[in-house]
Amino acid sequence: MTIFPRILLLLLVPLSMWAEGVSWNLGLKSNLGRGEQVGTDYNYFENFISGSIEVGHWYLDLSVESSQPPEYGFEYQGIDRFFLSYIGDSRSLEIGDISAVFGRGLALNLDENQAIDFDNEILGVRFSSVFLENHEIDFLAGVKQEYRFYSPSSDLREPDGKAAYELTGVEATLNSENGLWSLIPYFIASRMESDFVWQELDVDLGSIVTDTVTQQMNALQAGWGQSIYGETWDLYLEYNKTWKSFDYPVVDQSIQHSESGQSLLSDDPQYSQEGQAFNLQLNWFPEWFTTLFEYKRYLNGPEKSSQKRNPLLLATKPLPWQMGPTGIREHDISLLGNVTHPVDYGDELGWNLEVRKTLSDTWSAVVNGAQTSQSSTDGSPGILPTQDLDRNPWQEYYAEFEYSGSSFYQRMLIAYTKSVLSGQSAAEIMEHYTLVPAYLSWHPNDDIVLSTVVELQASKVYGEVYSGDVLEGHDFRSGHFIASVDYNHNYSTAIIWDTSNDPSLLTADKDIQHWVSGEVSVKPRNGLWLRASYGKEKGGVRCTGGVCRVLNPFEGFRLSMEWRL
Amino acid sequence: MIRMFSLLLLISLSFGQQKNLPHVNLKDMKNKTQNLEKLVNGKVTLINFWATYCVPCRKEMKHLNRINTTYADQNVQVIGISIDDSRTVGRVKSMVKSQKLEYTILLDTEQKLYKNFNTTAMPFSILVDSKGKILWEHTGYLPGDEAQMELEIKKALSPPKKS
Repeated sequence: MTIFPRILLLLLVPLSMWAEGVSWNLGLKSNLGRGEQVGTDYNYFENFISGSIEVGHWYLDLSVESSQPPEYGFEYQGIDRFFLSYIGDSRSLEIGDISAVFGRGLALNLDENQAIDFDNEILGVRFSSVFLENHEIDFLAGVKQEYRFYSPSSDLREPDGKAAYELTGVEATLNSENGLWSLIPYFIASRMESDFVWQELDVDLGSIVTDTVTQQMNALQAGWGQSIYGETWDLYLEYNKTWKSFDYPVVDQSIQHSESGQSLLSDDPQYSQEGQAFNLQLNWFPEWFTTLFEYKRYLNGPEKSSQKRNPLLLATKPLPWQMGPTGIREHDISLLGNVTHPVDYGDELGWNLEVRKTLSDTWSAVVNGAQTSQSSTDGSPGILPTQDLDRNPWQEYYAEFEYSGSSFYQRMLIAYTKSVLSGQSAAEIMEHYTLVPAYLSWHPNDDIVLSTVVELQASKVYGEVYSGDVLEGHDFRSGHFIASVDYNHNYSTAIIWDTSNDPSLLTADKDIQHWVSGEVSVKPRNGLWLRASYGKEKGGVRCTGGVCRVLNPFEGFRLSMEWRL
Repeated sequence: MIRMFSLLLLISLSFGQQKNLPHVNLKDMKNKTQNLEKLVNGKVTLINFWATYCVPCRKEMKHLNRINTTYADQNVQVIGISIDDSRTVGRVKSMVKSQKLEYTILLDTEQKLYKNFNTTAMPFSILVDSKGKILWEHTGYLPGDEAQMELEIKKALSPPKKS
């Protein structure tokens, strides 16, 4: 612990004793797991003690982590989060771990999600001020010493790689006096260092050497967001551009062996790259329904397929803080969540249309459709997503009905999802039909709530070469079932059962795989929540904002506690 | 460090003051900055943190809407604070309009206020008195929880008994 937080803590103790108007908050979060993941021991014990204290307009938030090891990421003991802020009526100052969003995050989105070990927040300073009564300016600067990243398909417990960066940015929010529009221009400058594999001819040795070097990238980003508000609609538009330069050029290198020795072949070296991103969201809400239409065109770093497969080639990928709206729905339905797709902020076009209709005091309906694909394979990006197999297309359509009565709640859903994974000459196609006939809860009296969830999915996997020939595939079925009882608003118990005959999940001697676990949760007092589970859990895809990770199955005992004082 | 934190915990428990609503500025759905203290000032306020992807939050909303209307003439209000991040905040307006919510909605896109309460659960509700003093907190939503909310509101409205 460095001297600065120590001094702050020592100052806060007497303040908490003597000062009037002091407000504090303390919390402890602990997660313990003892078990196996795919046949190997998987134990974790992570603890976070968080404290915040507010004195007048000053606020301090400090979180200490002791993980031996955590569920995901590296073993760590020390300060997890430090944040000091002053919030005035028209100005605010923040020092420490800075989370921030410019516009809707197409250019800058700094955030942390411990559940998938994602943290791109910077350690720095942020200053915001109101000017000319109606407008705001926001300035931030800071560094990230260790940004950890995982490739979307990674089922590893520890990250695929690390990078370091520093950035500074400024954003203005200009609001019209009549409240009809607001304009948000911004500008960001950054520098990032990451590992890079480089090959060159060593004249002394007379041979080609392959080395892992640190590649430095400098980037500038500029853009704007615009909101327009109507009586029964509102529109949000955002556009930005990115300019990058590299010290080591991005190039495909290969070694050719001949009788006279080795030669290094390099294609056209790239010392710079440009990118752009556009997002549109239109809400229309007349009396009898509401509609959301979203369109995205993210071209922050279109890459060759060989570059895409290389997780260490960070320079040509979207910057770690470029994460705009996903343009697709994040599902709370387990089986649908497992077939969603990780958003490619480097190269993706897409649209999403959602219509909500309240049918009566108790019934409502939602229909939703979404399509995405890569922009192009020939370097001239299109406007609309295509279902061409060589562009990783993805599409989903669903309809959902909800009944919310005085003692019954029921939700039904039917969905179709199709995803394609493009290879060199053929594509793997997966189609999923999902039915949720019951997402039911019933409370017969004030003390008891009985709930059940039934999710069913039929899937088909096959291949198709780009010339049109279909390759033989296979079908499989999956189910997800929960039965739970809640008593007196403080005690809950649940049984969770997953089943599938997906060949990729089966062990050698079985035709069908089952995962069964039980869970008990208790709230013994206000602010204290304990949850214990035991059994086999299926795992699957977990996503946040388009950033997805595959989490392996887990078998064993888990205990978690959340205690707020 | 853990020892120092334990010390802080013990001393805070011994001498800690009543919890108050933090000072915070949040955006409304028209991108205007609103000071939460000023919105609360003078009204018993039920503050409800929710998100568009949270199913229990949706179940709770119609009860919050009813509470907001029923107790409006007794100087009680509901403020809904969406903790949707920048990637899903575009869906807030659609949800609010489809549910015909009549109470004030604010956006805590960076979860600055939500993180202040050291919780990960949703929905999360707090009841504050007309001066911003936190009277009651509640995590999650199960059918029937709305009765407890109304009970706490009635307690907040009833004048303290003279000893």
